[in-house]
Amino acid sequence: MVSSVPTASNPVTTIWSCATPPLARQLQHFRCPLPIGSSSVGIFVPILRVSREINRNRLGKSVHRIRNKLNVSFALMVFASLATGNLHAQLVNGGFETGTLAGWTLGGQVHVAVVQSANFNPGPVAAPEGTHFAAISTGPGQLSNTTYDVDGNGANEFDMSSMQQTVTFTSTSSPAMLLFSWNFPSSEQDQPTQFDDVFDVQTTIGATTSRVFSGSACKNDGSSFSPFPNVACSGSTLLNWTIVNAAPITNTSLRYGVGPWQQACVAIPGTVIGSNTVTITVRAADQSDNQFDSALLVDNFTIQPNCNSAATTLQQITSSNGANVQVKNGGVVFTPVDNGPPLSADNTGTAFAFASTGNYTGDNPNALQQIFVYDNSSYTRVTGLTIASGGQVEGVSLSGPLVGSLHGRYVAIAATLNAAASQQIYRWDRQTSTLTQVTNTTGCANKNPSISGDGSRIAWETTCNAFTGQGTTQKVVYGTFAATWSAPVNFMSTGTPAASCKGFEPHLSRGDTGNFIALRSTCNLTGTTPVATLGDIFRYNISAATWLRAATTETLATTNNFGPSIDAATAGNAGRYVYFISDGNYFNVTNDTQLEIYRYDFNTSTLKQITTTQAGSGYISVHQASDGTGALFSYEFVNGSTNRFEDGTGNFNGTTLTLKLGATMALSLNADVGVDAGNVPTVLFLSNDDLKSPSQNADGNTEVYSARTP
Amino acid sequence: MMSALVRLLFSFAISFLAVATVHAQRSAPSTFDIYGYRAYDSSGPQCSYSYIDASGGSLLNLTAASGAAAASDDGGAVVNLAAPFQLYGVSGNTLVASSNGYLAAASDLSAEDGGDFSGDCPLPAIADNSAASQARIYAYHADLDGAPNLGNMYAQYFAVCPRAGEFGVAEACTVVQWQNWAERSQTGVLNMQAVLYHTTFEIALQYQTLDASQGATATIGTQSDNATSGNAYGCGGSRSLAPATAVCFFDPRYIPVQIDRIFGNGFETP
Repeated sequence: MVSSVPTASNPVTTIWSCATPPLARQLQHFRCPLPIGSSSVGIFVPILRVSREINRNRLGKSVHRIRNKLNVSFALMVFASLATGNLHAQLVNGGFETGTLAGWTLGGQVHVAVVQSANFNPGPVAAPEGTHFAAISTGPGQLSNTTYDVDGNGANEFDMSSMQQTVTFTSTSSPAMLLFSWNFPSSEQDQPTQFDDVFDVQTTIGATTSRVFSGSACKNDGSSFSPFPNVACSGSTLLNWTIVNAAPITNTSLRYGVGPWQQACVAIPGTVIGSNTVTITVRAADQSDNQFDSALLVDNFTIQPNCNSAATTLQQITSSNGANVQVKNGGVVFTPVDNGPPLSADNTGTAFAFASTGNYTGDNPNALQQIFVYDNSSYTRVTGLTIASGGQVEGVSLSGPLVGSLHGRYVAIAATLNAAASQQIYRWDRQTSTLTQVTNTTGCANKNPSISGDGSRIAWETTCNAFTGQGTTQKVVYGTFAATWSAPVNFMSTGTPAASCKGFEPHLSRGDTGNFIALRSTCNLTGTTPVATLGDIFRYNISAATWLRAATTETLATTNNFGPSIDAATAGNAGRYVYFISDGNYFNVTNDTQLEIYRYDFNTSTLKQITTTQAGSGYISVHQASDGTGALFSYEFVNGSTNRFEDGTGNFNGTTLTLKLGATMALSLNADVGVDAGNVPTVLFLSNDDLKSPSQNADGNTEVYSARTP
Repeated sequence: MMSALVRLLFSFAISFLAVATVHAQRSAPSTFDIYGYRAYDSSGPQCSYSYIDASGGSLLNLTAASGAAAASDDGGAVVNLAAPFQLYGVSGNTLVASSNGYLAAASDLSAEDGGDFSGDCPLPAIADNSAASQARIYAYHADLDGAPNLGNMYAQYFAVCPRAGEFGVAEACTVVQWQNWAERSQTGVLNMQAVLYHTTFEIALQYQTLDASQGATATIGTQSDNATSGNAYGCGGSRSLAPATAVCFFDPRYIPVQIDRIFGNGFETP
């Protein structure tokens, strides 16, 4: 059973779109190629990692070192986190939780009401914040012949209503940012081009009014009459919803239902550090006629110093600076102190393993990439595995729930110990400081490890014939630890064509013994063709030795499916949910080839598309939490309209989705998720942005950030 | 009565401190690490200077670590030991001697190329040459070169060490010697040696002559595998050396009787 997106049971998704701070312009392009042979999504990453030798002529030598002095001051971090987000005074009733429009002044046809999910028939429409939100309707039906021209295209608009509020506040940033959730379902979706209903948000300071946000109705055929950008479609199936019991907008017709919520974060032009008085005006109007209805749904208006969610606790965990510079024989070797890319969180998000050239434990002054574990407030180095010059850490995976006395007790590592070494898999036991080597091969690679929650099993990609019997063709294998590591198991031997099909991105179920492996493969592992050229998502049950595919209706060879992440549930729900990213158009939504997050339920064989993004944007990673619910995950989203990365957490209950933004940035690199004892998800990610105020990363090194999203 | 008792106790305490101070002044400077290596120099009775001529031993043929520098500048040579030597409790039969003034516990040049030309401070510190063993004896680790003074490196095994170890037992030793060596950008001739004892695993570093830096830019110490423990007697200019002096490192299992075994500060030294 495969459900389609545009149904009443579809998830309500939330998508962020933010204004463009100046730094965002530095990131002009992003791309997500998914070539065969790559184990992860390739994204253009303009991070500088320089290790070069300049001029081998002998000029005499001296050694200059810029010693990295750690400035990790957790007290300072805590202070900084407390110091941000201070804006005195706020909008009145910005979340409409009073159930009224108190604080707001209505205009135009004044067809505005505070509604909740029960006001949508059949619904539901979950509020992005609290239970209430506002609806500005162009209906029901024809209201007036008064004309407007909200979008300035010269065509008449009708049935315009507005809501407005003036707020005085003290800002700690310039410009201050206006954040709100919005949704613009329209019955014009399948109507001729000129019936392109519109909405906008304006801010006014003194005599200056600025349009800070706008949109027009989605069109199934992709056309647009208004200069305002088309919003994402609610779906392509006629549902014929109506708004009920919400005078004066009762009987507003929403023929395509209500699609995903989105979040906006826009700069308020003219705001200064200090006191500001701003009038915010929100309008919606019916373009070219006054027949088919549209409704602008809005919620949770706040003014903040930045785009980060007010409730989010964003911390910069690592603090690296400086570099190691050696001059030898006239050659200069410059090694920056930096973190990542490998990063992996435990089940709580309070501990993580990562690769770094930092000197966090005082024994790495030469800035050689090593593996470290951060656990609450302290760093330890994986001292059993010292990486020499020319070596590299390819991947790390931290185990999950408590084993012995530690969360994340075990670290799976893929690394080359020096320039001449082969890539091997290791496991480090943090509790006993014991290293075990899982592979010992030559002339081939072992990489991208994934460790089970209890640390007893590791799956990885390998090109070693000794493990696969398939030459250098990349497969996924796994090993299990008892007293020693078992021989790697080539469980993909059933796939065809065996000699050439490949396996990628293994992800063991976390929180248990790792009985399930989710992966991407070009092999026909279930005997069902076709398999996408770039691979489909499969699940292998180790104890039962059975394969299942995340069955879809999408069969395009060019479809990118990647990044599978399996849950850690137990008993009947074990291995039930797999999240992954795909640009496939599985639900035949018009023009929907964006990278979206999907969840496949192996118990019910149901695929859900849980996000819906606009063209030019997309999700590039999803990591399911190992809390066993199958609902919580982290995401990385590239907002094409702002050229900003947005990292956060999501909660999908099978019907509705809530996304919580952790932070926006010019560049994000890798993200993982944990859920703490309070059931609050935390997204951990790498970024070279300076996300905190006051500044903590002025040198632009890649740092590990943590955003707790209650 | 109470006052007299307090006065007596106070006097006793003063006397104790005075004795302790005398002993502390008598003790040579020492350093320690997590493993328990303890280092003393020849300014005190814990470590003697008695240079051994090892030039009659095997000439070490250095191999360049890379094409960037000559073997005498950045190179290494394997020293096959006639008897095992334990460094940080780990036994080995081979060492790699580096032109840059250190010995590494390694079986061959693929494990240690001798090319680490920059001394680290403090220890432990992960070494940064391409093929690096972290378990090392830093005799005089700096950017050294044999070419300026036409130097040679030698290794020689003595069934009975000509320099008696501080533990007081007759034992074999291996001497690795840098003869007529130089530190780049410094004047002067560096003649030094590492004496490795095969029973007590004492390490005696002896400096016959020094370059003009007098060790100010060199790292002198020991480090364990994986850089989990390290003992820098001197680094980054923390201590200078003098010609005709020695620095001794004692394995915690074989602490000589003339060294206090508890505090390392002279309090209980006889």
